[in-house]
Amino acid sequence: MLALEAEGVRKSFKSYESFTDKIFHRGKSMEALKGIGLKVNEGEIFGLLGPNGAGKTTFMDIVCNLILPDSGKIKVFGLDVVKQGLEVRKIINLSSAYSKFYDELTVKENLEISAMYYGLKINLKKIISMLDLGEYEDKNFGDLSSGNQQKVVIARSLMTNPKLLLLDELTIALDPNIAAKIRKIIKKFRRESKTTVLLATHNMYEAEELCDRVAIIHRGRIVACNTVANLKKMVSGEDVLEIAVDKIENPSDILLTKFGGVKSIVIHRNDNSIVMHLDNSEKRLQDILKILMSKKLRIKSVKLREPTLEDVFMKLTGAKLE
Amino acid sequence: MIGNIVKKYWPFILVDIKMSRRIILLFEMIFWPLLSLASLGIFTLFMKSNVYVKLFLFTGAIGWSTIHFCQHAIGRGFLSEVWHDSMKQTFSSPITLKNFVIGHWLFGIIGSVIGFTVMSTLALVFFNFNLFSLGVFIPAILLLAVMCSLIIGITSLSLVLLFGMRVDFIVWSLTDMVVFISGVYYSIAVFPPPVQFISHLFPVVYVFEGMRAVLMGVSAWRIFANGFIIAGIWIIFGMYVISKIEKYAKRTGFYERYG
Repeated sequence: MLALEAEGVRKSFKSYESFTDKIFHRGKSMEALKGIGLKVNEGEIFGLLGPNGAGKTTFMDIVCNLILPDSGKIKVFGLDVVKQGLEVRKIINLSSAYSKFYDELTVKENLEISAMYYGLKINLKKIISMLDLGEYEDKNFGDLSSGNQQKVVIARSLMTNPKLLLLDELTIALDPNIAAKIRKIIKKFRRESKTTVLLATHNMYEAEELCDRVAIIHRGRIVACNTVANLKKMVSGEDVLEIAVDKIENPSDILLTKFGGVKSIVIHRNDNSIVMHLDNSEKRLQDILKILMSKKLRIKSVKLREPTLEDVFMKLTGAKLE
Repeated sequence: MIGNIVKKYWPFILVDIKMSRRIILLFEMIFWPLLSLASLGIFTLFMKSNVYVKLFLFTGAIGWSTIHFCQHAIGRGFLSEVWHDSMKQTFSSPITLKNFVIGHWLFGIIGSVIGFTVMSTLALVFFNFNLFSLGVFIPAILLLAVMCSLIIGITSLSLVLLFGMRVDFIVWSLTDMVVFISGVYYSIAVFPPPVQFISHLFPVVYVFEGMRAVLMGVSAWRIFANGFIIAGIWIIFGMYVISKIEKYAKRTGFYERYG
């Protein structure tokens, strides 16, 4: 059975500049999702990889029945998220990096109340020890560090043992050690409970480490969907050359230049870097640098590396994942 | 069946009870209403007010605090989710907005009954105004008052869901508009007939008219009967509206924006 099936999901939001615009419905429309379709198999960890504003959170919120789509269908274990919203919410759980709890209540109280929303009596000891929250269970949520607060949010989503677990930016703003630990916990939880996980992230390392399959989402569209290995094959045989320069005054001049063996060029003006995907990098490197220097560009550093998911993303969209 | 009802609403009552540890909530429930009662009481002493003036001022202050606290429990319960960034967590759970509202309203009832009892006792002890003489009408008055709170709570919440957090002040200020139109501190007989007609469409009027009628020894059964019928109609309509508004909020992405 499919854990999640989405078909032609579209969603646009209206923004209003003033209160009168709102009353007279004179808002500007912004399309957040432009026909999303995907299938998630039961038991897999499926990643939605895309930069901020790509539409990941909107899609997750539709799955959680927090937003209604304009058109299209989403089914969770055969249940329609619009028509059977309450039933869907019983079998899923959401952990969003942007969500918190009542500051004035303790960790234990917050988790107990959340369990009551699901009509469940839960052995909190197990989940609290799983996330190493034992010493904080009687502390107010508001007094915890952001890392520990995030752990409580994750504990809340795991404790109901959901059939579909939605993780929206799982480890954003966490220090690398805690982030690694949380990824480990998610892996273990999936292994033991066979829960299906839908992970929205812009962290390619997280997607590579956790996901069985990844859908790359950009400006409300899915531009590719496959296993991490297969996605990387899209740039296989290519190297990635990152060149940092002092200043890029005329990017179109660089983009129009013919560099031998270069398959794509992306220029990032915010950090003055040029990223090229190319074959036979060792042979081509000298020529490329010579051409760039002839254009009066002062080269600060040159880095040659293997392609990552970010490169796949850049190749497909021409944008960075940040 | 009772077990299911308790299961549905208890989590919201529990949140409010636990939040009551915050000193500000005790202030809202007891301190400010008492301060207002004391001010009015001292005013009546200073002015050597007659029974009639005392009747309007004390029933107004005590009755209004009862409605006010209970309505705030609903608004505060919802806005608290926004302030704590917990809205997404809460509303992605298998709960409905209707249960959420009723749960917080039930807590509001507890607070209102406590507030009513404390204020009436103090009015009796310090200002010789006996609201307990309402006798068997007390439960009817309290019930009608908290039904009014539910209506005001649903209205203010609907406006917030409709227009976003830019109108969150409605939760605190809508009640002031109701004070004016419902004759909390005066009889609506002072209004011209068309305004009186509008006033009578709001059930709050019947709480105060009923209370004063009983205290003046006039028959109040009809007033209360009318009040309950109108309040009942408002509540049925309100429950329908809230389910529609919940869908509207989901369409416009309210929970995503303020989650």
